[in-house]
This record gives sequence, C-alpha cells and structure tokens, in this order.
Amino acid sequence: MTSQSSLTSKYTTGAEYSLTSDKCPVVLELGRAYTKCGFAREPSPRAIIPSKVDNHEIYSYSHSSELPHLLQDFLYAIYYKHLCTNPKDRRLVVVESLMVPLEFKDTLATVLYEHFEVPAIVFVPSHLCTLYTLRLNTALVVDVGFKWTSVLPVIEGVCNLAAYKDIPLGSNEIHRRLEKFLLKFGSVRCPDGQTRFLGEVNPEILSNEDIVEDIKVRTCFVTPRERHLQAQGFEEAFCEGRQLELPTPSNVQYPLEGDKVLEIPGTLREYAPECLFEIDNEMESVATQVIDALLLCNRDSRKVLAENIVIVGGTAMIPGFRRRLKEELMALLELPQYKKHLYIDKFMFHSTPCCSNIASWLGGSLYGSTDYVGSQAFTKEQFLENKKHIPDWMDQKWKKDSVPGL
Amino acid sequence: MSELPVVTYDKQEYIETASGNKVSRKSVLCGAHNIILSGKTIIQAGAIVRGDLANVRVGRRCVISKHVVIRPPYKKISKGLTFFPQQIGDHVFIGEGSVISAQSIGSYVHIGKNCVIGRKAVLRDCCMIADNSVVSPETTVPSYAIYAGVPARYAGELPGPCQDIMADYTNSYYLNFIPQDPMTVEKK
Amino acid sequence: MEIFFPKVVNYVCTCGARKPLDVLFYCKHCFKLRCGECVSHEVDTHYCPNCLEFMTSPEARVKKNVCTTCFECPCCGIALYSRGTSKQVPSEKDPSNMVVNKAYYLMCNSCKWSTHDQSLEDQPTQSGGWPRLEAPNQDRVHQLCEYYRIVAHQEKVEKDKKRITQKCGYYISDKYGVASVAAKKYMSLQVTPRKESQKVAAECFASKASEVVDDLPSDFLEELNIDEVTNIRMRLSNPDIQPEKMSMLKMRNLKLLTKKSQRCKECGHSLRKSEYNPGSVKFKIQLSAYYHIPYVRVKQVPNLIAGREVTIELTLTNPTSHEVAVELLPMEEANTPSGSGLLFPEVTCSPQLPKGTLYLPAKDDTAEYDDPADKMDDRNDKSVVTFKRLNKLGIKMQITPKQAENVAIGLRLKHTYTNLIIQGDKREYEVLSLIHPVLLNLSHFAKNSISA
Repeated sequence: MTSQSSLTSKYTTGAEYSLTSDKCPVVLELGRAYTKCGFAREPSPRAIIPSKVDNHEIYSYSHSSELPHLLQDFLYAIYYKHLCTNPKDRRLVVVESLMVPLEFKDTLATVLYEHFEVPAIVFVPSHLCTLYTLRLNTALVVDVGFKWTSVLPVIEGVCNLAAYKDIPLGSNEIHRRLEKFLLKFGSVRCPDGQTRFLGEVNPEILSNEDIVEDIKVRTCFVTPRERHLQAQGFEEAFCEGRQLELPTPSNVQYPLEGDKVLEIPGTLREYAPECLFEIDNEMESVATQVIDALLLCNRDSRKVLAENIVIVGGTAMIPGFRRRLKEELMALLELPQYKKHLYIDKFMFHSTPCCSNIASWLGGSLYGSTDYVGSQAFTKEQFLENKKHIPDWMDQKWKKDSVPGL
Repeated sequence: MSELPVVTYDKQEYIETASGNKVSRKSVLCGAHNIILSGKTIIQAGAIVRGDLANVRVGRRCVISKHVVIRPPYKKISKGLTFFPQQIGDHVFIGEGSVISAQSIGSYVHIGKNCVIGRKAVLRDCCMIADNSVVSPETTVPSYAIYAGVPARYAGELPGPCQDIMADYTNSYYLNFIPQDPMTVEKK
Repeated sequence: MEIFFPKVVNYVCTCGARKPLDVLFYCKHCFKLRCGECVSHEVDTHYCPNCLEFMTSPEARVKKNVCTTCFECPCCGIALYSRGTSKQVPSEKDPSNMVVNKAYYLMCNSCKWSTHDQSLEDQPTQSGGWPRLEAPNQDRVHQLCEYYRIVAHQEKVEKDKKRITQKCGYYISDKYGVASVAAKKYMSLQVTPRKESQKVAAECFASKASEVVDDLPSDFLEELNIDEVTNIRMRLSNPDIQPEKMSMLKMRNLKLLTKKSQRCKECGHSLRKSEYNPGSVKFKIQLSAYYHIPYVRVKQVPNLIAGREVTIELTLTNPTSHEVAVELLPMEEANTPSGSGLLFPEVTCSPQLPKGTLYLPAKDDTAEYDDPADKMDDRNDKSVVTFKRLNKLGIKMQITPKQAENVAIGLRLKHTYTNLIIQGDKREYEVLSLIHPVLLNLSHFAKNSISA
C-alpha cells in the first residue's frame, strides 16, 4: 500500500513538471564571449555557445544595419538548433549586462518581436538576478567577464547604481598578454627537429583567438599574492630571460597544427593572468574596483556588503582567482587611504550553486520560473506603443515595478 | 549555380559498357565479378574498388573520382576478419582521394575531396560530407545533414530540393564527360 | 558547398535579400519569392541523428530534447557505440561451473573514450540502462525555484488584494451582484500553493558567506600534461559540471535534431512540410522556388578585360511541366523611385540582352538526359540560342565590362507561370506573368572555373 502511494505521488510530481515545463520561458544570456541559452526552472543552460555567427562576433558589428542580420542568424541557431523550440510558443527572459548599449538592446528586441514573433520579453539585469541563486537580497556582485570586470552593490534588492564600478579587465586582456609574450618567447619544435621562435614559424597563428583561449583555459592560473610579491620585477626578469630565485611552474608542451609542439614558458602561465591584479596608471585593478565600490556605498552598508561578496563570470574560473582576489582585498585594507575610511576587518564570499560562468543565467532561470515573468514582461504591443524602445532598467517605469522578491 | 564545365577524356583510356558505365583502364577493380555498376556510372583513373573482399553494388549515375578507394567494411570476429557487402545508391558523387568503407550510402549523396568514411558508417539519402572530413566508424549520417570536420559532426542543413540538385549535378556530369579522339588531339 | 549553396547566380527575394534559387521558396498563393528570413519556421518533429528514432514535440520536451538511448562522447561530441565483452563468471546455481556473461559498454570510435573512463559498470543489455546525467545542484535549484514561486505568488496576491479593495472602496453594494464577483476573484487569489512546494521552499535557506575561498590547487608548480586537461569545448558541452580534467568527463545523452516546416509570413500558407519519418527524404508540401521558377545558370565566360566586348553564354532551365515563355529585361527599367543604380549597387556592367521571347519546353520526367541535342523551336531567335536540350536552352549575349574585377550583371527575368486552379471537379489553368531580378557574378564564375 505504501509503495503504491509513493508511486502515485511520484507520478503527480512528474506530471506537474511536464505540465509546467510546457510554458517555461526561454532564458537567454548574450555574453560578450559566450551565450548561454536554456529554459527556466532548469539548473543549467542547454547550451553555451560562442557569441558568434560565422566567426563574426555579434557585439563587434561595424555598422548598425549589420546587427539585425547577425542577430537573426544567431537567434535562429539558438532557437532551432540548440533549443529545438518555436520562438512563438514561449516567453523570453533576457539576462542583460549593464554594459549593453541601448542600440543593441532595441535591435535585439525588434528582431525578437518582429522576426521571431516572441510573445513577450522581460529583461533582467545580470548582477541583480545572480542573487536569486543564493536567496540573498544584499550583496556585492563582482562580475569578471571577457572584456570587463564590473562591481555592483545590491542592497535590499535595490541596485546601488551610484556605486557601480567597472574596468576593462578580463579574459581579453589575458589573451592579449599571452599573444604578445608567446610570439616573443614561445619556442616551437618543428617537424624537422629544429626549435624556432613562434614569431619566426608562424606569427599569424595566434590571431586565431581559439588557440590563445585554449592555452589560457588549459594552462594558466592566478598565482598567490605571496609569490607575486616575491617575483617583483617579474616582467623585466622575464624579458631578460633571467631566472628568478623562485621555483617556476613547469613549461607546458602544447601541440600545434598537428605536427609542431609549442613550449609555453611556465612563468608565462602565471604571469598572463597577473594583468587583472596589477595596479595600472590610474592606480586601478580588479581589486581596487571592489574597494572603490564599497567606498561609494553608504557607511552603514559597507560592512554587510564586504561580508556578502558574490563572484561571477567565466574569467573568475581561472584556478586561484578567488584566493588572490581575497588576498589583494585584504592587502588594500592595510593601505592608509582605505584604512581611514573603511572599518572592515574581513571579507566573506558566497559560492553560487553552479559554475560561476552560468550563475547569472541560473538567476534568470529562477526568475523565469515565477509569476513575475507574467506581470513584468513587455509584450509586442507594448513595445510598438513605446516606439520600438525597451525601457531602460533605470527608467522610472521600470524602477517602479522592478526588483521583485529580493 | 553555374553549368558544369565539359570534361574531356581520352577515348582509349575509358571503357564504355553497354549500360553506359564509363570505367577508366587506369582504375583498379579487384574481383570484378563482385562489382555491380548499375549504369551510367563513371569510375575515373586511379580509383580502386575492392570487390575481392565482398560484393560492391554501385547505383546509377554515380561519379567515383580519381584515386577514390572503395573498400567493403569489416568486422573482427574470433578468427580474424569478415567483410560485409557494400551498397552505394544512385546519383552519388565521391570526390577525389576519398576512402569509402561505409556499409551503405544512400542516393543523392555528395562526398567531398579527401574524406574518410569509416567502416560500417551509414550515410542516408540526401546528405553531404564536406571536404577533408573523417566520418568515424559506425556513424549514421541522417538525411539533409551536412557533416564536417575530424571527426565529422553535424554542421548544417541541406536545402530542400537537394535531391534534384544532386540528380541534376550527376546527370550533367555524365553529359559533360565526353570522349576526345586521340586523332583530333594530334591534329590540333 | 558550391553545389548546394552556389554563389554565382543570386535571385532577389521579395524582401530584397540576394539568395540562390536553391534555398528560396515560391509562395503559390502570393506568387512571390520568399527566402529563409521572410518565412516563419516551425519545429515539427524531433529525431535522433544516430538511431533515427522519431519523437513528437511534447515527448521531446519532456525528454529535454535528448535521445534516451544514444549517448555523446564527452571529448569529441560524436555518438558512442556499444561494444560487447564476455566475462567468465561462476554460475549462480553452481559456483564451480563457469558461465560466459555478456556485458556491454560504450565507446567512442574516434578518440576511444569509453564508459570505463567514467568508471561506469558494464550493462547486461546492448541498448542501455545507462544512468542519466543529473545536475549536482538539482535539489538546491528546485528549492530556490519553489521558494521564489511562493514569494512571487504572495506578492501577486497582495497586489491584487490592494487593487480590488481600492476599486471597490469601503462600500460594497450587492445590488448588481458586483460583490459576489469581486469576492470570487478575491477567493481565487487565496489559493495557497501546494503543501509539497511549501515544504520544499521552507527548506530553502539563504546562502551563507564564508571567509574561506576556493584555493589554488597546491600542485600548480608541478608538471602539467596538457593531454589530461580538458579544452573549453569539452567543458562547456557539459554546463552542469564543466570538468577540468579528462578523468572527470561524463557522457551526455545525444541531442535531437529537428524537422522544420516553413510557412509564408504574409498569407500563412505552408511552403514546406516534410514527412514525419526521419528516414524519408520526401515532402508533403514542397514549394521550393527550384521547382517553379526558371533557373538561370552561367555556362561560359571568357577572359574579362576592361573595355573589351565579350560574349557570355547562359542557360535557362524550365522546371515546370508547362511551357514557359521567358523575356530578359534590363535592370534599368525597374520602376523604383530611388532608381535602379542604387537598388543593386553590386551590378557593375549592363549586358546587351537578347530581345524577344524565348520559349522553354516543359520538363519531361520520362526523358533521358543524355539524348543528343534535339530540334530547335522555330519561334526562338536562332542568333541568340546556342543549343537546346529537353527543357534547357542555351543563350548568348554580349557584355562590355568596365573593369576587370568584380564583374556582375543584373537582369530581370520575366516569365510565364501556369497556375492550376482546382474548383470542385473543374481544373483550370491560368497563365501569369512574373518578374524576378537576377544578379550574376561573372568574376566569381571565372575564378571558380580557373581553379577547377
């Protein structure tokens, strides 16, 4: 008898799932480098694909007339190849970055409404919806992306835009550094047994971003702050070919074009990601952005924000990143200019229930499973009424009914 | 699309059978009695068909380009190997230098240059293998699919009328594959 | 790719896009060309690319668009194949007797990854019983889901409550039965979420921050074998775990492919609908332009030199079962307000088009293609026509390119189209006249024919 009842209860939950999954909205996050697409309620996106159409990045279009075609082709692949669903049948949640230009957003909406006949769309800011994955309403969200690192404090479900900070540091910067130094110092063992510099063998090869990315993903790591301090003058030593007093990471034999082997210097593996933490001319780095954002916040909220830091974004997945960020933050606290203003003695971090590159997508998925989508989505009629313009999330109207549930 | 160019061949080099097959004397047909060409199929110089391993059946109006190897698939059994018969449908084009060990190839299939079709692969009607691809053994390639890369993966979709495009292509290939008398060449 | 996606001859779709005829549709109801961008696509059915099992859309939705029996190699993304092994094990009945036990595992035929690498037990049947990959965070996500659904629901209830009380004010007269309607609506808002979800939601605690963060693995100075580290594609193909080491790879179910149908956005008629059976290459409805509009091909282009007049040869093919009368009109006549020069900026040269009508005989499916060239139609201008073979006609024309590179000509193809109207038992034919702009890139043709 008990076994039967448990069976039926299982059955009903199953049925409930299939019924609700009928209407589950599509959740889409068009990242700078990778696009995540899937359905609401699900724990992970169905696919993570490069934000490219035939090797053409969707964000780097030369003319605004090009963009609708790029997006059409890109969304076609998303809907029909990766999601296998009709765009007409489902509402859409777009997880958007604060950095996205209005032109891009409006073009995206026009293509979605007019070409794909999506019934309703709701745009949610990525920093904000990350908090859904943690059941938090106050946190300091640090998004380390491909081109930018951005920091946004969210207090009681309200974004503190005045304290928003960003800096053009991310994977892109690491790629550029890898490219530059590999061309100089990467040695290649050619099929004839000779060893030459990469710059002599094929200087064009690293213009293929995929190879540079692959090298970064598979070999690079963020070194602890202690090692970083010991290796001061790192770049000069590296350039002069001088050995540092420290034990160096091992060189890596990287197969190239099928018949060659590229030797990646071990020091470069830890030196390339250093660009995120080096203090630049304006005395800024990824870590200073976090502190600066805190300083821009209300005195009362600084402590609670410092004790609720959420790190998201694909670049934050490089091994050692979190440890280093924490070490850098602690070191910055000791500096006189910060010590005076910040009465903080520790930083505490949350870990998202998924890999950090899909954290904001997961937030969108959770948001998409609620009734908010119904009440907040912008329908095609509203869009046309609003002169083909999606209200910016800083607009008054949006503000009025934004940030639900947090 | 453009019309296919006329390809002339040395009349001495090719044998034309009663059913219109044109087979180069420079091709190697092993175990000829096991090879069936259904008609108007072209086998060009350097091509090898291993009929000695198992039966090979090629449909009508196929084009087997230069240096193609057609080799029946095998399976390991406890005592060595056993070979299986191989079937190729109608209007199939196989590009130069490809090696075909597929179990069956449907009709209206286009295989590019320098491909390897692994043993026991099944290519359904109306599909395309892009140049320089390796279809790994036992793979099924569905209709209207384009497979490309090493190993070959789904890469796109063929247009709706691809059946007639392929038929038209192989027909005009055969039509434009015309003999040239060595005498006239000498005169020129 | 040139065969299926030719670049030399492009037709101008009704929407202005330049596409080869092979990928265009012809809407029989609007009498217009439609391209992939001006039709609406619908996912009809799903099927597995490996086992070709057919699945309806609702079924595929429940199964999350994956095949339940086929799996994908986590390294190279192709289908895995089952391999049999036989092991000698003591028999259950009589332990002293050895019996042969057949077991199956899955292996990739390309990179030789196998289920053994994932430490999965061999299965007793060939087709499966393999565990489905579950997301490690599934329970937490489910809790969060229920939690926010309840929060959202409560918020909605409160909002609506406010609205109703505001609307009705403090005085509710039941004279017109309004109150009962309002009360009913009020009641409907009171529906509480299911107990189960409340229970799940109650377990959902807020995340706790910690001072401890993910550390750098202590072996970062040690030898790194690149072959043991996964690349980004392998990681992203499994978003749940995104494995960093080859040893952490897990196979996933194979993703389904779809069959799509197309519909004209303007009139709503179906333009293409395929058979449900994934093995079939037939269509229930097939309105490709390829079967309705005369096909223009380039046959011969001599060396193109700026300023020198040359003769080019084109062919016209009639794909329909009715005779078609074709006229080639120059682009200039296009009556657009902005002028044709701006309309087609890629056209760099204007041809001397043959005047008069050309007659293309109907397509005869029973005819053999390689019969010798047949008799000329007397109505056609012999100085223009180079040859005729069944439903194909070769024509020549002169062009004088202004430049040696990027020579492209444009023409308007005016042709008759015989439309069959069926009204009850009556079958009537009406002959329409259609015009399509066509762009021919001669330089591209010349380049290709040299390389060939």
